[in-house]
Order: sequence, then structure tokens, then C-alpha cells
Amino acid sequence: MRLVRSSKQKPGTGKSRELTGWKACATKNVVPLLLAIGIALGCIGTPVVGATLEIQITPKVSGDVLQPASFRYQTSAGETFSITRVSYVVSDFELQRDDGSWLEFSNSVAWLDFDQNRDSMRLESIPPGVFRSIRFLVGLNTKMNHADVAKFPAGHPLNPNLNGLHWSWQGGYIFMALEGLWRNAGGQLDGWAYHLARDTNAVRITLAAPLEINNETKVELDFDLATMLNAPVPLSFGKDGSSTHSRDGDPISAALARNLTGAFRVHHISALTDAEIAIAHPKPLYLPARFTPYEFKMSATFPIPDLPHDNPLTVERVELGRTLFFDKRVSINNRQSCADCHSPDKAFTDGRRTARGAEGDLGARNSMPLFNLAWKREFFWDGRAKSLRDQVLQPIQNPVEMHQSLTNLVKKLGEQGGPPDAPDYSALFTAAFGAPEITAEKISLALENYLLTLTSYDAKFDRVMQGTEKFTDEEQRGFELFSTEYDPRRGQYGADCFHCHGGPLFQSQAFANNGSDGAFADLGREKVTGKASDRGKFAVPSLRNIALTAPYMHDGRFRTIEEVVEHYSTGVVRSETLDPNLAKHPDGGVPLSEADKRALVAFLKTLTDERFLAGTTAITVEK
Amino acid sequence: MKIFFRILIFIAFKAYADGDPQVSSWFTMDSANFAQIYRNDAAKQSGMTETTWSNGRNSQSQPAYCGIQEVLSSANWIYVRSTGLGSQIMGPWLNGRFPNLPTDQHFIFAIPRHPKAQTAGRFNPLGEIGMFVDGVRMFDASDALSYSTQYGRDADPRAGIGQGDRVWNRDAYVNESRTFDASMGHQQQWGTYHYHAEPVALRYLLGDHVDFDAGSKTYHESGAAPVKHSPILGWMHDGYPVYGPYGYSNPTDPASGVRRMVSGFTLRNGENGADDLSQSGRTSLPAWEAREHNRSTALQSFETGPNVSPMYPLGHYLEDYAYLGDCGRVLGKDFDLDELNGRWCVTPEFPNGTFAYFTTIDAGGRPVYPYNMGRHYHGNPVGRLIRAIGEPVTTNFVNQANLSLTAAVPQPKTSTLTWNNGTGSYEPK
Repeated sequence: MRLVRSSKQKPGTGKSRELTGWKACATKNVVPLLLAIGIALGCIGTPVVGATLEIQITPKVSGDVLQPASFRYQTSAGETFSITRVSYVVSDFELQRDDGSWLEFSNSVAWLDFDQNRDSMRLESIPPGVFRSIRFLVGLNTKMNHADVAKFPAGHPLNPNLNGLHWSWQGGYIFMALEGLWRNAGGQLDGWAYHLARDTNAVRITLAAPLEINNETKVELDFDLATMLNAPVPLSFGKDGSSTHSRDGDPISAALARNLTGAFRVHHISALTDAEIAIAHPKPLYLPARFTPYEFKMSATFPIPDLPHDNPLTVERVELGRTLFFDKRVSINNRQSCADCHSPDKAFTDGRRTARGAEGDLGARNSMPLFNLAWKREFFWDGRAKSLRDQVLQPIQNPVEMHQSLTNLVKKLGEQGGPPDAPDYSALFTAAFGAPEITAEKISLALENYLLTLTSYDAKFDRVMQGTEKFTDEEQRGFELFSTEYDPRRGQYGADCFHCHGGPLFQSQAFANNGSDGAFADLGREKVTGKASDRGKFAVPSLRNIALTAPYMHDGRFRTIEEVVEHYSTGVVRSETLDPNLAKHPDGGVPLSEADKRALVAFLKTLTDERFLAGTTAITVEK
Repeated sequence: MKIFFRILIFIAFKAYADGDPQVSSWFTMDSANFAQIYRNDAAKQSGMTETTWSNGRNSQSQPAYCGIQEVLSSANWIYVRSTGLGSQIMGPWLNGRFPNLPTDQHFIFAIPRHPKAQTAGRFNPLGEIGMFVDGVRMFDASDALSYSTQYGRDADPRAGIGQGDRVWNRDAYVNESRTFDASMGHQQQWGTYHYHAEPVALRYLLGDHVDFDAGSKTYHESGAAPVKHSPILGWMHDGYPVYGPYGYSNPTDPASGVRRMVSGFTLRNGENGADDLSQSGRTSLPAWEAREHNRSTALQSFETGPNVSPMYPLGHYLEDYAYLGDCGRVLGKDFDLDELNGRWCVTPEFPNGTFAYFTTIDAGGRPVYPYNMGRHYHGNPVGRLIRAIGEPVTTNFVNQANLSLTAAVPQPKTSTLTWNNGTGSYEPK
């Protein structure tokens, strides 16, 4: 049996992370999708034996489709609130045959996310027949919940880099993350974050659903958030608390688990007509007859990244990309290479508040560090580039950056008789792409190859994890603060950093308003999505190598890590898009003693990866 | 929270879930959570917990984890590292007026893997008698105080009267339970949290027929008929298990249904074949106690206890109980548990049979004597707290949160992905 996430994404967009057929993760075996039908190519794949059931789950509120980030909902206590995140895992699907026995799809699992438009999944290879009900787990069984997360392939719903639901250093997944904002009794904006987790809170849902499965059938389920927050146990953010992390004995998680049992309903059953079909991996572009596969190295604790299948990492392509990265001719006046704003000795940043272009123009935003980009799917502070190959060409052309037209760039690099030390691009392109022609596309593919190879995973922190080094007492205290929530009602007084900077990568793929401003000079993510609910949101950066990437924030406003810590303790400004995980804290932020602030800074300094710096500096010398 | 572990061998969580119950029975679900207390009734009412606390005498200035932090094993021993703090929210004690607060005890407890029945020297010092599976220490039925004929009252260290005569020993549950929290736990002056009677919160966490009332935050024996054998609640110093109150009706037949195990003790009130101390005065020991000390039941004048009165009601002392086996009743027919509070039986974990202790409660779900163990062990009590482990061990469980501070991650430390043009995918090397 396979459970396949159907694709909502248009064919041919970005990387192929929707291509996810898998077998039970009990075997941790990944079976590449057999039924791969490329709409764009118009070809038909091999049909699988048996029938298919598509299950679509739509988040609703009292029967109406959920309106994201809209202050239109009320708790039973009369509190007005919005819902900004509905993200959860469902697993262990079973269908009840007409004779009462159950057909198990063992270890089937799907990740559903309102924001990511992931709402459906497929059960395949079903023996045709009549079924009377369906049941599944919201959450995961114990075995799956504690599987080795670094082993899940890139597109697997339990890959933590994909779903952002892994419970960081505590182990296990958040089964369901519900977040939003609410107005408290004083009329002030406040955050709420209900994270249902832990083995005992996995809830089995059983629904009567008369199904005659012959070929392709679709069952549409409603997931009613009004029930979730209200029935039979009404929750009030003010009275019951605005956050839960499902620690033992927590009444909110108990109420959520109780309410969950009645929150799913069968909305509609139909024959599947809307043929939503997964996309095949695209074929490698311009792969030469002979090439050397590049060994992509990372920590064994990192999730498996979704490396591009149409741009395989090869030693030759990486070498070309690296050459281009350090070539000043990429800029209009031959004065600036990529490395000028992304200097390897500063973890690929420039130490400036905002970037300075080839012609001396100042940009609006802080140069971003370049490492562990293989675990990102959107680039720039506002995520306007959906791939690195798309991203790399933008600073080259940007008038306040390198200000070079692509036509001119291609022409310049192909010129014979350039500077005496000029690289032999003809040879480099031939080795990388099988032909000497230089094109903007190939430049972007080579740079993408190179940037993906910048992995940082050997800081003191990692060596402590491996048992070869030890934290000082202060660093250890800092780590505890970092990875503990701030939730006085449950007796937790951490600094609550891990919600956004969790996991071994210390980053997430989210965009968040971190309370830097109340009025926004830079609209951030809103400029890309056009949604007011994205106002003032910027990419959540990695905290690895943070000691080297000053100044901080999207506009470089903070000079030191101490200032950053102070911001999250006393400087957070409330606004309508403030991240719920920050909005739930007291005014200003998480109260921290001076000793604890120092401990946090001491811990953050253990994230510096000297090996990464040495390795990348060596490249500069080599060049 | 200074818990530093040396990891010798790391075995994944799965590996210990099967096989030996001495390895697998430990309650580790909350091991990565910080222990919490309610300081007083108002805090409990409003749900305000604390992870650090101090009252001058006992101080927990850094958060400490709940209970079991590591389970290690060798051929002959199980070693358990624990903070000694409960997984449930502990406290309040006497609405915050109890002078002691619990603290991280960071101890190592060693349990023999191959318990042997004791043949000689039955009397053993008591006090701590075992370890509950949540890493909280198990104390015996007495509160270490006894009647003093010289002073004509119970010993009271605060009044300068030390231990007493140790003839009429006070029942901890009867005399101290007002200082227990809802979990039946409290701590002595050194901050050692412990249970004297049935660990009701632990039983709730283990799903042993206990309900939790979220409104009053109290635990109650479930009203439903018990349908499953109780889980292992702990291990005695002699290496034998302690179960919850429900065992098989027929000790050797797992298909015989389950029921509450009936204690072998009865008050010396003239009923059930026992003598009547309210008539005779506390002038004789029960037969089981005389056997214990290899003496006669008759007491000399300087050993007699106070007459039964409202101040010294029957049940005030452990010696107020008679063993039914000494009263013409038959073990296995009229009652279930011997004078050690156990029996030889089969259990879910020991299908071939074991000696097993059972925590005792009455029909109303309240603890009854002898609670967890009578006045001596069935086996040789070589289990004890130790300072360091002196032999190579296998790590069966380690708190992942602690692991992240000092311990190992899977080998190798790095992994590699390489493009394979044949399969058209990136593959681990």
C-alpha cells in the first residue's frame, strides 16, 4: 500500500518536492513514485493495480471555509481571535470493510498545512469493494513519532525540514499546531499557540463513510476548528491560557484531544474527476557524458534536503559556480564579486548594516549569510525567489547591487583575451555542461550548485552533541533557556527561542514578524504575497555562525548579539502580524535576568563552525 | 541540574522496550520535562507551577528533570539514575506550611537482577525499601518515630525526644498523610521526595485504574470494575517487583480474571480472630512482630504502649495490626497477601511466576496497612543507593534532553548524498 500526497502545485514550478510516493516508514524505505504522470509532457504512466481513494480535509469554522489571519472568530468567552496556522499530521489510515473487518494502510502518514495548501492525500492499491467507515490517527503512533528524523527523504511528510513540526531537542513531533492572535481583556493584541504533541495525545478519528471503491473515489472531510476550540470543552485564551506545549497534565492539551474526537466530519463523497497527478522528477539539464558526482556532506542529525534533480551536484559544476562566485567581472564595473557582500570569513556576510553595491549604492537590507541553503525553499529576506537559480541572477542585475545585464555578463565572460588571471570559462563550462557555450541559465545552475554545497555542521555545539566536547555551565544554562518555552502557567521560564530557530539547523522556513517595528518602513513578505497578513514578516535566519554575521535583523539594526537578546526580552513591539509565539509573551518579550542573557549569548557563540570558515577561506586563497 | 552522564553504549529506545521488565518497566515519558511543584493551595487552584523554588532549608535553584534519567544494566545489576522528583506536579504540602521542599537527589539506585529468597537473618533495616518506576523513592510503612514509655508520649525530635522505644512504631500513612500532596508524596528534611503508601499519581500515569479530577486536581480509584492486571509500580531492594493493587484471582491462572488483592493484616480490635487491644491495652506484640525479632509476644512494663484512646487510636502503630494467618484465617483462601505483603504468582511480565509484592488499598480505594511491604523482605535486600558504577554497563535508556547536553548522537557524525545518474536520484553514500 502506498499513501501518496496529491499535488496542488502547478507542474513545473520550482523543485519537485511534491513527488512523494512512499512505502510505510516502518521500513524507512522510500519507493520513488511509480505512478508518475507528467501533465506537461502529456505522457501516461503505468497504472497501479487496485483502486484509489483521495481524502481531502478542509479546515472550516462552523461550516465555513477558514479565513486565515482574519479577526472574525470568537471564543465562547467572547474573545475575538484569528487563526494563522493550521498544520498537522494524520496517519495510520484504515478502511472498514462491509464485513466489519479493517483494511490497514500501515504506517501511512500525511502532513496537512493550511498555509502551504496541503489538504489532500491518496490511498492507493485498494482492493475494490464496499467499505463502511474510515478511521485514522491525528498524530502519530509511538514508533513513528520516535523514528530517526534524519532518515526521512526530502519529500516525506515526516521530514522535519518539510513540515516544521518536529519537536526540536525534545524528540517526537507536534501532532497539530494551531496558532493565531487574539484580543485580550485589555483590548491588546496577544498571541495564542496550541501545540498538541506527545504519544498519549494521538487521537483516533472514526467516521462512518459509505464508500464503494472501484476506480477512483474522493472523500472530502471537514475539520471544524470551532469544535476544536469549543466543544465539548470550551477553551478561553484568557482563562485557560494562550499556549500549550502538551506537557503532562496540561488541561489545554487534554481539552484539545477531547475536542478533536468530534472535529472531523464527512462532507462529500464523489467519484474522483479532478485528476490531480503527481509530477515526475524533471530530467537533469545539460548533464555531460562524463562528470564526477559531488559528495554533499552534512551532519547525520540533519534532515535529508531536497536537492534539485534537474541540476545534479557535480564537482565540475560546483567548481564553475565557485569560480563565478569569486569573479569580480560579474559586476558592471568589474569591482565586485558575490564574495564582496558574502565574505567567507564572515560566514558569507559583509559586516555592513545594509549591502553596498558595485557602484557604491546602499541597499535596503542586510546581506544574508550563505550556508545550509539546501534546507530553504524560498530566498531573500522576503522569499521572493523560489529557487537559488532564480535568486542568484537578481543581485547581478539589481541596479543598486552589481548592476550587470545578463546579456553583458554572458558576453564579458566569453570574451577572449580577458585579464591574464581570468578563468578559462570555455573549459569550465564544457566540464560542467558538456559544451562551451555560456548562458545565463547555466551561470545560474552553476551558482546554485556551488551555493548548495555550503554546509555548516561542525560547531562546538555539534561536538558537544557528539560527546567529544562539553559545554561550560554558562553555555549549558543558555542551551536550556534556548530550548525551553516561556509559559509561567505551566512553570516554564525559558527564553522560548526554539519555536522559530529549532532543530539541528537552528532555522525554519517560515517568515515571521519578530516585533522589530509597529509601523513598517519595509513591508517585507507582504511585497511578495500581497497579503496584509504578511506585513513586516521576514525570513527566519539560521543562528548557526551568528557570532560572525553581525549586524543583525533584515535591516542590520542591531550591532551585537547582546542587543538581539535584549530585543527579545524587552524590545518586542506588538502589531497585527506579530508572530503568535512572541505575542503570547508579556509586553516587551520574555523576562530574562542579566545572567540568563549572558548565558544565552554564551550558548549562541557555541554555534560558530570554525571548520566551515577554514574550508571556505581556503577556497578564497585557492582562487 | 548537574547531571553529567558517561555514555558507554548507546542503544536506541526501541531496544529496551521488550524483554526484561526490570529494564523496561521504568516510567520515562516525562524524563525530559522539568519537575514542577505547587507552592500552596492558591497556586494549585490557579494552576501556577514552579520549576525552581527555595524556602531557606531546601533549595532547587535550577530546574531539574522528572525522575528517571538513565537506565543501565549489566549481567547482575540494573542501575537507575534519577532526580527522585515526581513526574506529576508535586505539592502543595500543608498549603505551603510544611517545612520541607523536594530537591534533585541525583542518585544512582542499584537493583539485583537475580533476586533470591532470603533464608536467614530476616530482620533488615527499613526506611527506604525500594524504588518506584517513576524514580521516586519508596519508604516503609513507619515514619521512624515510636512511643517513648519514659516520656509517656510519641517521640518528637522537635521536643527533644529522639526515636522512642522502637516497640510501638508509628504508621506513616496514618500519622503523616496530612503532609502528603495529592500524589501521597512528601519529603524529609533533606528534600528526598518519597511515597509511604500507594503512589496514586504514578498509578494514574501508568493507567492503573485511577482517575484524575481536573477540577480539584485530585486522584481517585476508578469506580469501574478492574479489568486488567496492575502494572509494576516499583522494585524492592531485594529485586522483586511491586505491583498495583489488582492481581489475578487465581495466582497461577492469568485467565482467572483480576481483583483487588486483600491484605493479610487486620486491626487488633477483636474482629477477624484478632485480639482486642482496647480491652487488653497495648501490652503484647502481634505474633508477626515477635517472629521478626525472635522474641515472645509478651511485653515488659517498659515496653507497653499507650492505651487505645482518641489520641492513640487503633492503627496509630504498626503493631496494632495482627496477621490473619495468626488468627486462624487461611492465606490464599481468606486473604491474598502474606505477612510480607506479597505472594508467589504469575503476572503479565512474569508468565512463569515470581514472588510479587502488591500495594494495598481497601474496598474504598484508600491505602491500608502494610501499603507496599510488611516488615521484612522476601529476598536478600542487596539493592541500594550507590555512589558510582564500577563495572561496564549497557545503556538502556537515557533522557534525550540530557543526551543533548553531553552524550552521543548516531554514528557516523556526517552523512553524504551523491547524485546517481543511473537511478536519477541522490543517494546516501
